[in-house]
Amino acid sequence: MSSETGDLEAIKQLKARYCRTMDTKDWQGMRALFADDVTVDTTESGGTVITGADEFMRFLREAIGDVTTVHHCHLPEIDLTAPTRATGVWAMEDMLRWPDGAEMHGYGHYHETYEKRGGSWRIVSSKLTRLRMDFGAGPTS
Amino acid sequence: MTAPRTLDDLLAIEAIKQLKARYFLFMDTKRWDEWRELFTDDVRVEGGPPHDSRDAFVDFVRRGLENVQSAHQGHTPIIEVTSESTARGTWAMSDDLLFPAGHPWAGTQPRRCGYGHYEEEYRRVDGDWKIASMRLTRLAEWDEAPPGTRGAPKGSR
Repeated sequence: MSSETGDLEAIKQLKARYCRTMDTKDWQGMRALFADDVTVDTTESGGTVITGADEFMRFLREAIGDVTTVHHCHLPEIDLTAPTRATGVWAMEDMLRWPDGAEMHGYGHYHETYEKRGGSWRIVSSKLTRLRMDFGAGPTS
Repeated sequence: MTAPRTLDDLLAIEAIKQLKARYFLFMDTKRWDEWRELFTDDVRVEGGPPHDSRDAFVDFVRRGLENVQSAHQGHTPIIEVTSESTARGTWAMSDDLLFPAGHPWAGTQPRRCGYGHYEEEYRRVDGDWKIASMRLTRLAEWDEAPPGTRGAPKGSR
């Protein structure tokens, strides 16, 4: 078969693991999805541009370590630009609740690049652009 | 991630994605006879009350959802084909349930929004992929005000 179709499915599964490992707080599993020199742009969510997978994991554990998070991704647009390189755009929705009851419900798009290194696809860059972020003080009471 | 290796694997992955799509469609549109056909006879279910028989499980869900407006969604499947006739997978999921008054599954509000993951095994029976085991783990279940009423003054409902 064309290896391209297999690569497309592998990249979709890569992003599926990104959401699942983040929300289940499987930090070790999540770390393995990134290239060591990954760049993650979180500026539209109120963060910074972070370089390095270990640095990003440190940032994430601090930001959402004690937050209940749900991240859902939809409708991937994956382009294989070379046998070992690809770009992707994913629609996304996320729901966060902090221990004090504060909450955020957001929508946006992940803009990403991927590379196949050592036989496995990894995230090399990721920028989250936001359509909306709705903040609430807490659940209705 | 390592890429699926054969075209047969990719065809199986697509068939299993459509199997789960039917699971959500037939459940939320209450097409229970068609829903029943998606499972193996000996399906094992965990995550709510455990079941190890298809008919008992289908009856349990049918009775529970009979008067409930349910909307289930599945996202970002990770399907691994383990042989010609077996596979396993995980799905991110959400459900949004609107309960009638007095429903035994309802919480403090008539609406409950839930989020989690299905972990499943699949088996090919006479050419058709079916769900052979299903375990639902939850990230969160939040009782919510019904749509359109949130933020209304207290006592206005």
